[in-house]
Amino acid sequence: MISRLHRKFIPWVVAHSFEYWYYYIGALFCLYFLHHFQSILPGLAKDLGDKVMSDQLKDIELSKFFYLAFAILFFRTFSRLLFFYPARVQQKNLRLEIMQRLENALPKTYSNFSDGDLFQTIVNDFNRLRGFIGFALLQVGNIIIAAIIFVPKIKEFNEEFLLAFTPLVACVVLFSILVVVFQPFARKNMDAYADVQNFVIESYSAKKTIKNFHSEDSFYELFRKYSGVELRYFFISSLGRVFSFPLVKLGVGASLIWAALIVKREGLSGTDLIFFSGFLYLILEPLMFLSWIGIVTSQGYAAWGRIKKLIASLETNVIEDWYQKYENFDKLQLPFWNNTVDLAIKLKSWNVIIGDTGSGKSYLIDKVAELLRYNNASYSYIKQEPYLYNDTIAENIFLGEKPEGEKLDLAKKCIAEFGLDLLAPTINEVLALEVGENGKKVSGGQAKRIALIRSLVADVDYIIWDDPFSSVDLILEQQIINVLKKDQRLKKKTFILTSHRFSTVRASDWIVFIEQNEGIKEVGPRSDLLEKESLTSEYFKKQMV
Amino acid sequence: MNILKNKWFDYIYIPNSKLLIFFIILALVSASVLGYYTPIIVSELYDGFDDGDSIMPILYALGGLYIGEYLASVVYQLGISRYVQKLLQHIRSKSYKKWILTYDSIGKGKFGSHNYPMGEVIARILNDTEAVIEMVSSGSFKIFIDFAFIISSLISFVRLNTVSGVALIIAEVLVCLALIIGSKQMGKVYMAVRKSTGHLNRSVANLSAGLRHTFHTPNESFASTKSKAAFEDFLKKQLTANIWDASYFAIAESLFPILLALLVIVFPYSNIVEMAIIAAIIDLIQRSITPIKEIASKISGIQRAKTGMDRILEFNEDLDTLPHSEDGDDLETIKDFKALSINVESFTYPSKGEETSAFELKDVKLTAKSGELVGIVGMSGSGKSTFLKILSTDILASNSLIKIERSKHSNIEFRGDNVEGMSTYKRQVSIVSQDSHVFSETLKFNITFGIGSEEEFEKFWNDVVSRIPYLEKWGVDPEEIVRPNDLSMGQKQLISALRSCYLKKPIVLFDEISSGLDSELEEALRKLVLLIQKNSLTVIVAHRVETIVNAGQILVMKDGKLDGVGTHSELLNENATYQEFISQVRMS
Repeated sequence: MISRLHRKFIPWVVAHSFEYWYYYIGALFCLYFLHHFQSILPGLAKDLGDKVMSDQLKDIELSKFFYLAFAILFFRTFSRLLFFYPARVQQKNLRLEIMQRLENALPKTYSNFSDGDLFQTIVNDFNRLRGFIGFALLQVGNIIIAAIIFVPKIKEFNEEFLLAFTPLVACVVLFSILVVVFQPFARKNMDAYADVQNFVIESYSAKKTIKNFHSEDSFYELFRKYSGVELRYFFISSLGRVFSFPLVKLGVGASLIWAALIVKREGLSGTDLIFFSGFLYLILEPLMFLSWIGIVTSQGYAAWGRIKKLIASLETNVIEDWYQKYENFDKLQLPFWNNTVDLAIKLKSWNVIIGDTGSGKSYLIDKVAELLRYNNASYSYIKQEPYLYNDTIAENIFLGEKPEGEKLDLAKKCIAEFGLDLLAPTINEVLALEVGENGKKVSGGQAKRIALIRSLVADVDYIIWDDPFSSVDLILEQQIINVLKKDQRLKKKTFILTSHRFSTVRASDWIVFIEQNEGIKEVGPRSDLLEKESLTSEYFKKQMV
Repeated sequence: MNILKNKWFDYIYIPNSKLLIFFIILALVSASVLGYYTPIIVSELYDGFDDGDSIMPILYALGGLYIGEYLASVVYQLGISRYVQKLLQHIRSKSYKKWILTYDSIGKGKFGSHNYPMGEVIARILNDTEAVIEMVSSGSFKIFIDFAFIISSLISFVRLNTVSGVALIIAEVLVCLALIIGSKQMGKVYMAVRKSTGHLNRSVANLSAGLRHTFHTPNESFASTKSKAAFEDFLKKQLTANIWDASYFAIAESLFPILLALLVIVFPYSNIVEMAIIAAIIDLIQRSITPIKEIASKISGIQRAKTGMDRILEFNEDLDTLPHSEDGDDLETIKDFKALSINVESFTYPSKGEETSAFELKDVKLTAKSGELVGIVGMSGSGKSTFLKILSTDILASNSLIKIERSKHSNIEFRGDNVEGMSTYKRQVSIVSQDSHVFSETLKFNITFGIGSEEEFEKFWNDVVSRIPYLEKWGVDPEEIVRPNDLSMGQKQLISALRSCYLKKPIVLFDEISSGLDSELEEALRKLVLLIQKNSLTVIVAHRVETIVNAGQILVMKDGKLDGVGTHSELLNENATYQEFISQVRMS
């Protein structure tokens, strides 16, 4: 993997230009020839006027116009393509790189970034960056080359004509300023749009609730409020365009009047004004993009800043003081609240961590996973609320691996026994079932069980489950545990679970009872802790009252 | 056709906008007049170079022309922006209202707006109107005023020199047609890009959200492999589109020399001897190239907007055919509710295609009085949730009958196959479940839904705070905005229970959450149930024994049937399913 994302903004732009230098050299050549051929046109138009007056129209070569049209067509097309191509390819490469970096980074390094933030960066920020290298660079080149070619030609013809461009340039500058000034409102408009969208999403999920309370009117009013705010911002942000766009034509007019005055004063011919106006329209196209260059560049720069922020957090040092290398994972030293605890694990058995809600079970089990990762152990860890990809159940279980052989058998068996066979008439159809966005088409409990199967078929030694049976009723739980305990393939695996249910605890081999202040309150084999007088049995008795 | 036209008019015309429309039309007319005088004044200017007179009056006229054009443009765009702002608010609100009034119930045939899943509703109400906004921001509306100007300029020029004027008109019309036809072809390419963009967005959203979860399981680089495919597809489609795009605009750019060539060709027939006419026509060509260049993209913008409007219209028309609640307060909550009885003879879920669902709800009955607490217990798959859904009319079971007894009026019957009638019943019910929604609005709004007065809410709030210590401990302020993501499941349930308590519906359905409640929250919820019970018949799907120990009756469900009915002590003695339930619950 070539890393492109470690640089600062300017060095990155430079490196990018070097990476694709042959495209850019070609593009600059095309731009040069484009403007060169375009700059012949005003002279040609003037010539037309002169020849009419002197009645020499026959001397005009018609083919010249068509050659010019073709040259413009050719060079303009390629100047664009040669700028666009590297930008698009770069965008793809960068997106892929960030995806791979994210995939290999400990999730806690990017815990400050919500799913929405990641989406924004991968989709929008890289698009802004592409806009910068594909569009802003092109237009900067366009303006510079146009100026290099046009200015000497006009100067050679009549030096005073250069001055007559002032009103146009002034109007374009004013236009650019207006566009930039109103830009923040476009941003606000987008935010407000997101609010309206969010409101519709909420109304959708809550429609039943709304209808039951007959509160349609209140929600209608609320919708009008949100929508009204968005549309107001739309209107304000459109003011920038309303006043600025027609300014350009005004500038063209003013420049033309100025030039007409020069023509009259110096006693030049009317055809000289035709020559001038030819350049006026030619320069217009590159100038029009002046404001966008500013906007796109600042957006690209800001996007790069956000991307770098994400990269920086992915690269933060994740090795913590308490990390240690272990030969055996039967006694782990882990941080717990402001202390450390020594967590004893019984290998190749069922370990369960119990404790009150909020005592730190999830935190502890998270640290176990982190430590195993640090030691390159083979493990699979399923959180309390697992995520399902918008794909088939088979893809969600096998995660890109080919479903076959023993693993497929295990998956099928689990589907049948975990109560997932109800989802479709046959197991194969269950496997082929699409689960929808974040598993929307299956219930939360079913999604969780699919994730559990995912970790069972993964070829790992350690299986870590945070509260795996919370949304499963007691009978199904019993059934699941029975299957798992009996299966030969799973016997060699070490299970580490959290639970607050007696039914789960009763089925495990090793119990760790934790408490926020005291850390590990009690630890030992099930037979000791449940059947004899112990804090654990006391705890469950209390729960049952 | 006529009806459709009238409907269109209904959607595009907004009341009280006559003045706005007047200004828009005024601007268009002014632009045409200015356009008409432009070639005349330009040719006079060039004439003026040759004779000795001052050209100042002509330059003033020309300056006035340009300023007039600027003003007309500004007024026009201002009017359009304002109109679009009003129009969209009008259409969106209308669609939202229609949609919110329809019912989403499962039943036989086409019931409810299930044809419109969430993404579709957002698309119809928001994204489709967005196309109109885009028309403004991309300047598509500008094309009308630009063409008004150019067309009248061309007409005016024809009077100066017929042959070259007509030739120019013909050439420009042909060019416009060619560009529009070309852009139609491009439409397909762009559509492929749009599709691919959608795919890319969905893939990134889907995959990036899963990264944190699958990191800790061997995953064969699932996310990057899948996303790579989406990125590459997008790249391919986009590059193809770029080729079309770049060459399309290049063609537009090469129009100037081609139109000049046209002038050379028609010269021998046009009798032009004055340079002023040549200058005027070159000026005209230069002015008209930009609008012509833009015509295709603007027209596709207009088409997109029209498709958007068509879709909204279709959405609205479709919603009109669906069962919906009345827009008004004629269906009040029944004040003298005495008792409810429901009898579900049978219900099976509608089958999808070949699949047949084995589950059937059969002969489930319940009769209960106001103020009574009814418990429902059973294992997963016993049908208790389905029964609750029928009670709440989330499901309309055609073979079912609900009766409401009233103390001061005659009783009302609701048949499951009568959708319209059911809406009256629905209004008597409130549900507290895991699905009950909490909005990112103030807590007060979440409880009252904007119903009732300030004083009423204040009285209610002080009352519940004094009865439920948890609320004080939680420290929530009713005026504060609630963040649903920061709430635990129990807190959400508490808020929706407060809502039911405040709105005092005759029938309250309660789907208890099975785990994850701390003891204080559990106590708070239990107290609320007692408060609700005072005014209502309360039906609870229970997961804890404490909730139903004192219930007037408990329904035990098994395999879609009633397995037993009775009080806690009765069932404990004689019902095996209930005994099993209790022993399992006790153990957990």
